[in-house]
Amino acid sequence: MVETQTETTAITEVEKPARLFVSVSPHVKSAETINKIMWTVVACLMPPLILSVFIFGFQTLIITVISVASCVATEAISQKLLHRPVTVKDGSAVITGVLLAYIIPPGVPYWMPILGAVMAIFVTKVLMGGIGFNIFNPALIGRAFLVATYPVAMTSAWLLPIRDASIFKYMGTGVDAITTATPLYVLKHYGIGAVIEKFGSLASIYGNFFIGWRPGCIGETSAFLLIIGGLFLIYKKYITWHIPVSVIVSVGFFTWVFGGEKLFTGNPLLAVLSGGVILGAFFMATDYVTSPNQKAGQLFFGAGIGALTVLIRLKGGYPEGVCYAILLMNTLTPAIDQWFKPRRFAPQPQEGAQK
Amino acid sequence: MKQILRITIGLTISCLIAGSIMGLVFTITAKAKKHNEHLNVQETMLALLGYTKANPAPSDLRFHSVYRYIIEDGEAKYIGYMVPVKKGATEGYELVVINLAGKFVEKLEVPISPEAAIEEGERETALKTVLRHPKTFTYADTTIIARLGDKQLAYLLPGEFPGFKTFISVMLALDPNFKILGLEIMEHEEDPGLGAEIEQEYFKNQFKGKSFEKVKRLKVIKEPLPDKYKRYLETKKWKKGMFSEQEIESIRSKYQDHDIYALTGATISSRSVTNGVKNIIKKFAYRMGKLNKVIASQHIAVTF
Amino acid sequence: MAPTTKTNKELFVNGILNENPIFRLALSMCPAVGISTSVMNGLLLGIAVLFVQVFSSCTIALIKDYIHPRIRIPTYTLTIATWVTVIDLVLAAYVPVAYKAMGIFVKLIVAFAIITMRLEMFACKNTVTASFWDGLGMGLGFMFAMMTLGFVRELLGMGTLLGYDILGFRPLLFFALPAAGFFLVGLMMAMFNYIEVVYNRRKKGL
Repeated sequence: MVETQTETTAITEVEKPARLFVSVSPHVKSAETINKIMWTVVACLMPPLILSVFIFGFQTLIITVISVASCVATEAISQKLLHRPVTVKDGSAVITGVLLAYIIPPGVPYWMPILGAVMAIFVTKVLMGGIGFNIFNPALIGRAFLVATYPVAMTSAWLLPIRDASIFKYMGTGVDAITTATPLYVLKHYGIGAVIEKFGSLASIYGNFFIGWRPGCIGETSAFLLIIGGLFLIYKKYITWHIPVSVIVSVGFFTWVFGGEKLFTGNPLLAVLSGGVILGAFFMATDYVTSPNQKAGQLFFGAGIGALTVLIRLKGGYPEGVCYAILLMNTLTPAIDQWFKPRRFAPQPQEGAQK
Repeated sequence: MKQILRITIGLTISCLIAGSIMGLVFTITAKAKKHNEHLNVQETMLALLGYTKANPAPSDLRFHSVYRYIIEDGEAKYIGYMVPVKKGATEGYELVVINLAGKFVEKLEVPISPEAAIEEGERETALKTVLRHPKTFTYADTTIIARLGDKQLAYLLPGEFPGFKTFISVMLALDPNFKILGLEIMEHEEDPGLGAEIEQEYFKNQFKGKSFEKVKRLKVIKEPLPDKYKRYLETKKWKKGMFSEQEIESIRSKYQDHDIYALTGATISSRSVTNGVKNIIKKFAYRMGKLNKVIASQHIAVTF
Repeated sequence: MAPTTKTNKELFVNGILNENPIFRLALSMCPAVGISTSVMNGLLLGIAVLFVQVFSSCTIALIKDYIHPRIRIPTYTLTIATWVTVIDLVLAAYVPVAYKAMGIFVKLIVAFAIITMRLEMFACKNTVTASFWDGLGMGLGFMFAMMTLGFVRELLGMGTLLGYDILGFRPLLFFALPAAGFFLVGLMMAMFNYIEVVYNRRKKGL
């Protein structure tokens, strides 16, 4: 709709020379190509990975590399086989690979991300028509598939953070070594008291969780680095603040209202810091393809994610719900785009004029 | 108008035809069907007591059913147990009415034969002749008591409790001291691969042999199931010579007082089965204690 | 629509391939997704549908001249319900082994779209013989589809076939869950469409 206006001004300017160009939108091209945006996002995602090597050990790096490689390979091979142009270089498969690795537990076997990558890239993206046509966020579908397929590994392969920089400590230990539970799991099944008992006083919990010293998925633990990465993307205007802020605020709000024993006694800070909220809010919910493109719609989208996340956390079968919340809201994206249409600049056409 | 009339008549006629066909088939098959249903429950009960085709039940094994009813008389509430009693050479039923504190209220003879008592409808008509207006009654549950010769062998309790998704219905076998003899999952709708594992031997056989004292504080623990114990629990996969007598005895005594190992990835289902079983047994033991006291003090000639 | 001009053999094959209830017509998707978790389930539901389909098709073809057009759908439903009840009761009474395995499947059938649709599209316009062959083809086509889905889902989801341990482990538990049913049906539809495209191209080429 914005194009309509630029188009009309463009036409009036071009009218003086006799030549009139007719082309399809978009009519305004910027220096920001898909490639540049995607590689910037990848760069913003790197610091948490480096930190995770020091939190969970060297195998997180291996898992991430395997995940990225299998995503890229899946995309290249499937596009070759389907006689489509190979779009590996745009970096979107790399992002999917990194994000997929970030949302699986650090103690899974090395072959597991490969299956997730096939599901994420081939089924969710390539079969749907390639980048721009996928309904769901590919990385999240990959995770959902893995959780459904290997529930034991995906819900119990958590590792305790390493404090003494012995990053090869967990190498070679399998899934069977159930070492610890995530804060959200402890919170769901044993209450806030058990969380404090297990992870220290509330103040130290906030500090540790903010930096990233807590059990969790590979890339979701460090709220600090993820926020920095997200803020950089907002500064570069690759994403807007609407979705991240509304997700985080609504998770905090709904947890505060419903999360405690009585109404309005929940702990919003712990809820935001102790799951995948930050990662989901900045890097997954803001995916261009699967999120609404109007500001009001984005706020609604984010609030919906927050509400669903809290609902799943408090009433559902799983301790964490960000993944499913985003996937559910992804399905609503076309509808949200319909509901929050921008006002058109031209006067309303007469009834039946469109025919 | 003519159209509407034709449609109405047409619909009525088709419904009547369909209904009469169904009714006809129902009457023809009803008896055989009931017989089969009865056989099915019987089979499960025998399996729980450890009798299979290879190891058939002895001929003097008898099942006696006790039906529990809640009787309301205005504001007052009573519990009525329809118990089988000896009447000379034959069997009859008596309704033992107990108040909520466990005190005996009255004893009524129910005119019903043991064969007819299996039918809920038949029982109701028979009970209506003894419990007159304004007393009302509702059916609560059935307990089946297995008797071998003159020895009480086991209680068989059908039960139901909420699982992860919908209700899980089970049948429990207890010995006279309320020790668990076996657990069978009759129906459930848990997730395949996760909660549905409650059907597996390595889960349900964990309940076998738990004493009443243990059951009262039975818990679910989230530890991986030891491999040896798992092989021991899967009795259907046993091969000859897999365990020696001593080994079986040592494993049995080691895990006898152990809590229930949760299914991996299905703690909620494991917990709901454990708690459901716990509740059924606790309530049953309480009720049975009351009933047995009354039966003893009133000298009711029960068959079990 | 005029009575069909196809031969009995064509009608039979039509139900299995060209108009396969699940892969081509996309009817009765709930059972396709929900129940096809194993070959056995697929086979049992397939048998149940086959019988009800054939019996109802023949019945409707027999009484088609007496059905008032305004009440044909209720009549179809009644016919199906009658047959389902009859089969259910007869199985429960005389074949308890089969009833134990198939009871729940037979009771499901009353609301199946495929049966009603075949009665409306075919049986009420054709002879008893044609309807019989059509019903048989549709029933077998449904069974074929359910067993194909069941085969893939049981093998990949549980690592077993017909209850026998084949792989010894569970490769992709995902396939045992209902969501995988949708994926698999979608992939099978795509395959059928692709085969059709290739087949038509070959035919033109010749």
